[in-house]
Amino acid sequence: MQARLPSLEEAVRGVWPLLSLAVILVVLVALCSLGPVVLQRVATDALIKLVMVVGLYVFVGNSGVLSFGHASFMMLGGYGAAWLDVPVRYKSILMDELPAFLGKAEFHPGLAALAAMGWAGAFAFLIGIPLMRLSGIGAAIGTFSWLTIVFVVHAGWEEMTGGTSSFNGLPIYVDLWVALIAALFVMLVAYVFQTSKLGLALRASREDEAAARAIGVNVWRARIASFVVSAMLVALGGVLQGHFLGTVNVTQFYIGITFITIAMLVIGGTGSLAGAVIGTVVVSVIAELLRQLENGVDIGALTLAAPAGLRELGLAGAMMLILIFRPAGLTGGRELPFPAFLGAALGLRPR
Amino acid sequence: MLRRVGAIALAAAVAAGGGFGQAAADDDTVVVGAAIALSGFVAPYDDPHKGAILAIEDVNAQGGVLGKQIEFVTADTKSDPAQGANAAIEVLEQGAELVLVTCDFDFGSPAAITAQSRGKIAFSLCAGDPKFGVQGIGDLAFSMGIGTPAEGAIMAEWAHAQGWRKPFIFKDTQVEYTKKLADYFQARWEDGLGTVAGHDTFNGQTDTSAAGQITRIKESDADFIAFTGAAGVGGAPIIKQIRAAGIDIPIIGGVAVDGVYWLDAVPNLSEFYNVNYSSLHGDDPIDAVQDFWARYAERFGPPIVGFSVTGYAIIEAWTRAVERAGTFDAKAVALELEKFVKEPLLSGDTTYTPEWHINFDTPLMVTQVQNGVRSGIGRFAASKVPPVDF
Repeated sequence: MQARLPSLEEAVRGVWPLLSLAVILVVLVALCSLGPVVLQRVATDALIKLVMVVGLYVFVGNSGVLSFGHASFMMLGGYGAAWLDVPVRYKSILMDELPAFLGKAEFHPGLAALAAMGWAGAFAFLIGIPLMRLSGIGAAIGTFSWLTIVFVVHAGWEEMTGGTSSFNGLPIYVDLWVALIAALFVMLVAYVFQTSKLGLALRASREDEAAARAIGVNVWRARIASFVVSAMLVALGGVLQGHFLGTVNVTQFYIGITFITIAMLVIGGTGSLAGAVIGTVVVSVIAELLRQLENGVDIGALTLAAPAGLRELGLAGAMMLILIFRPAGLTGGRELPFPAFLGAALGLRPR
Repeated sequence: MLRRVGAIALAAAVAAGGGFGQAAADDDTVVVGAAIALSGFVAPYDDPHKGAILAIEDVNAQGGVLGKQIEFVTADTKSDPAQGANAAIEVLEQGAELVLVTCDFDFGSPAAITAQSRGKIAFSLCAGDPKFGVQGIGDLAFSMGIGTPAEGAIMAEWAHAQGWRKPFIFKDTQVEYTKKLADYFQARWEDGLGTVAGHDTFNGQTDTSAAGQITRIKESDADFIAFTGAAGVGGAPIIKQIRAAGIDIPIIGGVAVDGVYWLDAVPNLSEFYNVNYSSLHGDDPIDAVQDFWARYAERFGPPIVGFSVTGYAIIEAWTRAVERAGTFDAKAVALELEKFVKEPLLSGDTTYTPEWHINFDTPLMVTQVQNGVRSGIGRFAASKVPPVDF
């Protein structure tokens, strides 16, 4: 067989699922950047969630195995980066029992973020060796147990983490644009992974594990690879969260974030990158609209305010409705379709 | 599908943009904001913001501060620390010169860090962890709370004065405050007051039962329990279980078990004591405090926690510091606050220093619960406060 360059059509169709999502995201973020600071922060928060959800998708979406343990990698990322880039003047007072190579040193936040991703990835590799042999409910409980272990160790190891107390002093460098770049980067990695040989093999095993094995796919190896990539991306989410708020706390990376990120992925549709992105955007928008409603909306001279707690109730109700009417999520596990008008404009023949 | 989602998101973004059209302060007003829990399980601990509202009404009636009327704005953190940072931005965007934050280091930090990073003063309603200040947040962060070393010392010294000798220290590990309160109680007790009969832990946010720990209390020869839990966050059921197990020795707790809102959960509770900033039961010996509670009841209905006076005290402290500095500039106001030496405020005489932005020598009111009814006993100060250990 002779190698050949892909045709224009193939190239456009190939990057379309990523390109379309990226364009939508950039447009949305650009609109938000024109709004008030509060809206920009809400959008930044949503982008950080997007990093986490897309990271989670790289494993859950491609392998079809549910993980309740990914918040552990946010924790490893958040604390890992904090150890490296919190200024010495904070560490010397609040964390005076840190080993000297951390306590007396201060690294560039970018370097700290990379190291934190590596730190989480290393743990994902080690824990993945036994866990990736499991699937179904076993994997779900196994990963949840791992989350519990990471939580208890971080909450209990006072010398290293300050225990359940907040670890303050993280340099605040995450704004809307930093979060957007991170989100686009994570989407790119996710897309490259899912279209790679390893990703396609893993997706084959998702559809039919026995058949995938029969054609020579090493399911275990493919799952470990996706678990490590996924953990590193999710860890980046933890790093961003910490450097957005200026503080990390163990309860930030436990049950609450586990369920909201899984809910976002399931609502969008676990099977596609579009599902991860659209699920995050839709849930974030609904949550923010309900929050605004709680704060009160001015209609003429009248202020309509919903009772406190509406956000949680409304969000849960909306999720339930979406799942009842679209059990496979909003996207049904498909990427965004290539629109016919664009094909015509580029002179491509319709499929 | 895509178009629909896009349209919804766009509409949402536009709607959200429209929601924040409030104008910032004009020339005649200055904005004080509160980024606190108005809903969720931390909300009872942020009740002091109502004290701030009363104080602001007083200041405005007397002509305001530096000739400006104070406008009070709030934003709900929903008891979520991460949402706290957004809430702080929300009030800062409305021009807040002072940001009141949640009555706890862990829950109040994100909002306080945000205010500090924007060069504004963050005042915690009543955080007790000494990290709330220069060391843990920054030079513009203050707390109207009493530091846990002093709170633990007052609990220990008052218990000792009652003739109680063998404490069982029951430590709640849920937040830094509840943990450190137990540690400082123990440090003060073991510094010449006696030995400890036993200790154990629970987590108020996750443990629903304390059967094992309660057996250990029974097996010890303790004659009282030092309890560091928070009544509203898992503490009340544990207290109920202690009493249901037939343990009727006195229990002494900190500020977090104050209030009347949880007493129905433990019917006929007796021999229960805790420290606090005031007594809301009509028996506080300080007239100004009595007046405060009468006005509070008139304005907001029956009071729920005795520490709501701290909110009033924050406004007193801040307006005085602003008047002395002659400006709203946060750095100048912080320097004036650092000069406070036994400054008489509604929550007690308050001292700040460049190192400590939290009180250590304010006396606290001891209140008791007997047969399910609360009453005040009297104010008590510690003669010796253990050194701060982060």
